[in-house]
This record gives sequence, C-alpha cells and structure tokens, in this order.
Amino acid sequence: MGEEVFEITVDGQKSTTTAGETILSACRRLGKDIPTLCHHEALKPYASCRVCLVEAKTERGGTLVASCQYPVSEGLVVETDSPAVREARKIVLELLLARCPASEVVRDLAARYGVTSTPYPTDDPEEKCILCGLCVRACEELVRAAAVGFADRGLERRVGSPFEESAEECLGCGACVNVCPTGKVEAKYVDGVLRMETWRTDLEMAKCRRCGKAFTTQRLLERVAKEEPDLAEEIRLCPSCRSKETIHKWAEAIRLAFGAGLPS
Amino acid sequence: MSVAERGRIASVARLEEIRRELEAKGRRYATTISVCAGTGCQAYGCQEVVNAFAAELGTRKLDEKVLLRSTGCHGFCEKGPLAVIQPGGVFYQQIKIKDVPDIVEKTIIGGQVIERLLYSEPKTKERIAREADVPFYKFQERIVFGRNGIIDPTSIEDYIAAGGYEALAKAVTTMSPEQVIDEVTRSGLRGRGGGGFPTGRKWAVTRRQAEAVKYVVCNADEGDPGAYMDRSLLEGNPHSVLEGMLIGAYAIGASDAYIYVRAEYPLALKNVHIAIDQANEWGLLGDKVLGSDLSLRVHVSRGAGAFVCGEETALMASIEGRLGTPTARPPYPAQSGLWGKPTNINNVETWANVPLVITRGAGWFSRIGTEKSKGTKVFSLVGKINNTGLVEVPMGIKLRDIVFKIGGGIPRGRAFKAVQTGGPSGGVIPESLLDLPIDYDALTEVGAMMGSGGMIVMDDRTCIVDVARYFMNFLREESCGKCTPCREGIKVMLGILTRICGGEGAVEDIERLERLARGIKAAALCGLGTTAPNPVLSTLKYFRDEYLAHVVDHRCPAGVCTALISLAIDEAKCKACGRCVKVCPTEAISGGQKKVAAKIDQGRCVRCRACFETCPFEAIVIT
Repeated sequence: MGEEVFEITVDGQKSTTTAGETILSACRRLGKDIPTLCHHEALKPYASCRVCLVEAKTERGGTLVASCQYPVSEGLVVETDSPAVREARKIVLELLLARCPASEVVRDLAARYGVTSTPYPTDDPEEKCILCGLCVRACEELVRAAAVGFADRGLERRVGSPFEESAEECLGCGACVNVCPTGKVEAKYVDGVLRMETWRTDLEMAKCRRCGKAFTTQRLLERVAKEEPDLAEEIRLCPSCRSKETIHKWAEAIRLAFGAGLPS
Repeated sequence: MSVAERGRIASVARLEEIRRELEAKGRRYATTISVCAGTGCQAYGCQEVVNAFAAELGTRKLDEKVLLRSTGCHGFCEKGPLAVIQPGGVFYQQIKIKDVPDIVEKTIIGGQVIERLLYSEPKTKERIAREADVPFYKFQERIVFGRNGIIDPTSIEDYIAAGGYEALAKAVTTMSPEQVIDEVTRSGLRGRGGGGFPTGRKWAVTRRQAEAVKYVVCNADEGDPGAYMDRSLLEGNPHSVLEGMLIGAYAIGASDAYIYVRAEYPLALKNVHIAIDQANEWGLLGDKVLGSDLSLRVHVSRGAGAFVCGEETALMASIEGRLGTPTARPPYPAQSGLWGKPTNINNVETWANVPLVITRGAGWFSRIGTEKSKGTKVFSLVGKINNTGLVEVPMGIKLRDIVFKIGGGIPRGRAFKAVQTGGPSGGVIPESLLDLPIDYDALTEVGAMMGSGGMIVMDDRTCIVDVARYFMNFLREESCGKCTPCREGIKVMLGILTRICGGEGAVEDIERLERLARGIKAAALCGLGTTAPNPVLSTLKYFRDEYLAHVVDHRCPAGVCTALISLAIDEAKCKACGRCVKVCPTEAISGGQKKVAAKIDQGRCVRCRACFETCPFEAIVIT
C-alpha cells in the first residue's frame, strides 16, 4: 500500500508531504528556518516550549499551532514567518528570557527575534532550565529508566529525581546531559564517581577487566548484562581494550584458518 | 421483592413489568415528603430534619401512608433545608427540626399550609405556597435537573418508577447505533462542559474509527470556582448519567466506560458507586444489557483535584495513571484517546441529556433553545445574588431574567455590576449586555463563554481588577506548567494585576497586560491556557475605566483594593452604636458611644473594611 500524499502550501510555496509527517519536518525539508527548543527527532513531540509556532490556515481562519507536533493534512496552508507568528514567538521568548536569563541558547534565539531584554521580571538570574522535559523524556522513552521526572506543577514545576533524593534508577548513561539544550543538566567526575549533579546521584564506576581503567558506571553495565546476557563478558572491557581484544580474536581466527606464516 | 429474587432484567418487557409494579407500589402512599439531601442542604443539617420526620411519622404510625424520601439537590441552595410535599406541591424552606411535628400535624394530617415556612418574595413579602409558583422555579425549565427532586438517588427503583432506563430500552430494541447517533445529531445537543461541540458529530467520529476497542468517558472533574452543577447531577440522579453513557456506548460501540470524578465530591462518588452496583445487579450494566448485544462495564476513576484534569487529554492521562498534563491535539480523543484507542468524552450534564433526547425525540428537544444552541443549560448562580442555587433554563433566555426573575436580584438592593460566566476560562458580562440571549455563540461573541455553567454575579461593591486578579491567582495555582505561555505568562499577568490593585500600577502596565494576554491566548498549548487570559481581556474590554482609575487616579472605585482606599465616618449618619468599635481589629476607632460619633484614626486603620461591612447605617464612607 502506497503512502498517502498530501499537497500543502508553505509560505506560498506548494509542496507534497506524506501522511503522518509534522509541519516542522515538512518545513525543514523545504529549508524553512523554524526554531525549536523542546523538540528532538528521537523523541515523541511534546509541544511545550511554543517557539516553533506557525500559522495553520484553514477556511475557518488561521490558528497558531506547534509545528513540531501538528500533522500535515491535505490542502494545509502554513505561514512560518507571518506577523502573528513573529509576535507569538517574541512573547514566548521574552517569557523564556525572563525565566532563564542564564541560558545562552535562549539568549541567542531571543536575539534572533530582536529580543535583547525582557519586560518581565526574573525570579532567579542563575536559572537555566526551560522545562522542555527533554531529559525526562529521553530517560523514559529512550533509556527506559524513567529515573527522573517532573515534580510539582505550574510555576513550581521542575525536573528532578524522585523526592529529590539520589535516583535509584539512574544508570548514569548521560542521555539527559546530552539532550539538555541549555546546559542545565550536568554530570562530572568527582573522586572516582560519576556525579549527576541535577539528580543528586553519585554512581560507582566500573573498571575494565583488562586494563583496570574506570570506563562506565556499574549500573549501566548491570543493565546491559541483564538485557544482553551474551555480551556480559565483552561489555566489561573498556572501548579501547574491547577493540584490542576483537582484533586479537580475529587475528587468532585467521591464524587458525591459514596456519603459520602470518605475522602474529 | 429482593434483587436476588428478581435477578437480572433480561428483556425490555420485564423492565416494563417491573416499572408497573414499582408505580403501583408508589401509589400506595397517600403523601410524599421529598427532603433535599444535596451537599448544600446537608451542610444546613437536612439529615437531622429527615431523621426527625422519620421519628415523627413512626410515632404517629404514618409510615405506611406517608413516603419520606431523601432526594438529590433541588437547586434552591439559599433556602435549605427544604422539602416538597406531594400531592399539592407545597414548598417549605429553611426547615428546622422543631418545625417537623408541626408539618406532620398541620400539613400532612390536617392539609393546611404553614405560612411561616413558605418562601417569601423579597420585594412584596408575599408568601408563596407551591414550589411551581416560586419565581426561582417558575421561570426555569427543569428537564434534566427536575427529576432530582422526585427520586432518591440511592434507589434504582425510584429511577425506574420515574421512567428511568426507558430511553436505553428504546435505543437497544428499536434503534440501530446509527439511528441513535442520527437522533442525537438532529437534536442539536452540544457539549455542556464548555466547548459546545456537537455531541452527535463527536459520537459519529468515534464510531467511524477502525479500532475494535473504544471507550466512553464521563468528565465529572468540575473545577470552576463556584460551579457545582455536575456535582449535583451525579449526587442527585446518577442513573440518568449512567443511562446516557449506556446509550452512548451502544451508539459508539464501546464496552468499557470511565467516570472521572474528583475526590472532593464524596457524596457524588458514593452515589455513583451505589448506582453502578445496582445497575450491575439489575442487568442494566454488565453483559448483555436488557438481553441485548450491548455489554458495558463502568469504572470510576478518582481525580485528585487538579483543575487541569478537566481538560480532556489531561483527564485521560490521569485515568491511565500518568501525570495529568494536556497533550496537543490532533489527534483528538475520538481518534486516539485512552490507551491510544478511540474515546468519546462528554461531561456529566451532556450524558444526562441523552436519555431525554432518545425518549422524547430530537424534534421535541430541538424546539427548546436557540437556532444553534438547543435544549437547556444548568447554571450555578452564585455571588451577589438573592437566590443562590442551581438553575436550569432554556438556551436563549436573557441574562436579565436569570439574574432578576430567577435569582431575585442583588442583595441589599445594591446595583448589578457584571456577571462572570464560564469560570476562570470565561469572561465578565456588563450590565449593558443583560438582554443578551444566553447561548454558546452569543457568549463567545461578547468575550465570555458558556463554560460548564458557573455564573458569578457581582454588585457595585466588587472591584473588577480584583476579580481579574482573583481568577489569575486561581489559574496560577492550577496551571500545569507544561507550556511556556501559560506557566510564565500567567505569573506575569498576576504580578501586574497585583501591582495595579496595590496602587503601584502604571498606564503601561495595562498595555503590557493586554499584549501578553493576547499572546497567551494565541500561543498556549491547551484549552485552559488559551482561555486563561479571558478574565483579563474581558474586564479590560468592558471596564477599562476602572483599570485606569487604579493606575491614573490611584483610586479603587468599588472601594475594595485596600492600598487605594481610606475609610471615614459620616458623623451625620453615625448613631454611635459602637459596632464598628467592636469589630475593628486595630483599635483604630474611637468614640461611637454615648451619642458621640465614632472616628477613625487613619494612622492605625489597616483598611480591612470590617467596620464598613458591619455598620447598619451606612455611616462608613470609603473614598
């Protein structure tokens, strides 16, 4: 069965899309510049930051929709840079800037919309978290650990470990650090342990069974060993020893197959 | 006959047979006393009144002749505890335990009316004997709410005797699911939860989905301040909601249903559970309902009181056990709802309307109301109004009729200022629009909304900026915090409003407020976020002068905002009664006795207005 194809119009330019595609994805294919903060290709749409708003026009008029989540449909007319879109993004960025003056990403994006200062008050000048939830969602959807989550609601909403104590389910995989767009989620090595600062969690490091170097967390090893028992031994090697051992194994195999005469 | 003997009702014919038995049983009583036992009347102590009636009837050996019934809410909460005596329809209000022997002696036995317990018209002081003649009831059209007063909500027998489950029987035996949907569509019934989406169309979309598993959901997460229509329906007539859901499930093709009730509604929860258990025992829920192919299990899900969980996507997340935050639509619940399956969500009042549409037909239903809003709407009429309570009126009724004819006008003869409809998502309607016919589209057009039916009346002593600040504070506490505009924007709007009320506002603040409100309305994620600025936008639209008075003249015309007022005593009016001296918490008032007029020490006065509220002579002047 062929995929359903829709014709849409983006900023006056006609284009074809397939069912299930989001406006954002269709627009980016057309080279449109739509900013995003809470969006990540590997995660389900969340539509919370509201900087990717575009105008979707139907016969009943235009409404602003989150392009990262809104699916295309036949005949959809999209404006990515109309006055309404620019004004809405500007207001959202002013609000974000008031919340997170310490975030470079927010400052840079705001500047692109001419927002260099905000008319609204700031509570915490050190705040970096925009509550996009990427850390929480990556941990749940990709790592399937759900070690961290949202606490409280409304203005008090924040990301954190359960009860803001050490997160028992945290593997120290670092996915949260990686996806965080503002640098709020941090991890560092302190005295041989991996400290997930934001989650108040210290993780014991595992040592390579060959060279003895600490290379990953104990919990991460245990999780992989549980899910992939066949790899239980192999994963206890650090990446460098693992490649050495693999090469060694292959060389051994080749030697067995072709006999002597090959360099050892 | 006990349930065990009767067994599950396996056919419509058997249901009709039972109905006739129950009707005959009802006719054995010469008199019925229906005491309102809604939450409001319970707070007044109606249970003691019921107990007193039971004891009195027992002593006089009248229990075989007189049926005493604790019913759901009658709506006239201002006047509880209240009772209606049939035949005759005599309406007694504010009944005390000591009145009970008198009622039994004089009215039940003697057939006389007791004057002192009758409703008295505030203006004419005329006493009115019959419930149907009391203006509060006379101008209503109680098609959905009316049965509350004649059935005991914990008795399925009462519901059946009153024609209950007749619509279900008609639907499953004489109509195809498509015909049911067609009937509901033609009736013009629209969602009573606020959005006003055509119910039949929603059902049709859900039915059309290819998935085999579908759900129906009843949204009973009523959370608007001052609104309690759905609560009273669930408490007072839970079977009507179940019957509506059964018909919906039949039409849509669902075999599981959820009722999402807030846990702060203990009586509603209790009565819903009782109703579900009874309906299961009687064969009106469960497998092969009334011997038809319809099977339905109804589950109850308790909400923890988050306002946002009344938003349908958040509600479904909460039922699934996830965090109650909304998700952007599409997909709509009809396409992908509970556990990703097509789900039809209607609110309590919508479901309660469904049996009426089926029994009496789309034609009958659509004759009530306006061109695009059919049927009736239940409103909770609260605030500065004489007759606080729940009122059911035909769509298209003038706001003036609700406030003055049914509501009896404003207490203490004060002037009407505005009415807030639709709760925190709605807006205010000023006096100039009192003749507006109330329907979905008219309300939206003037910047308010139908909402679930909260109606808060304000008099001239209500500060409109303070009202906007109140709603913004409510929303600040109830925003889920997921999207930027709602979370951050409401905080800023509240800050600006607080500054204006505190006398620190500037003209630029009004412009800033307006721009931000428009931005949030356009950019927020869910229905609650996009409507959150409505209280600000509508008060700015109709009462801009009052905002300007706060920021330009530093004056609160209604005399509410403490930072902007001062209190003084009009010596000519002061009778030196000393009441103000007693209530003043800061001992700022001297004199006020021995014929010496009271005097306020401005340095000590904290402008709490206690003296103002207390003075019977209007001698305290706010400037």
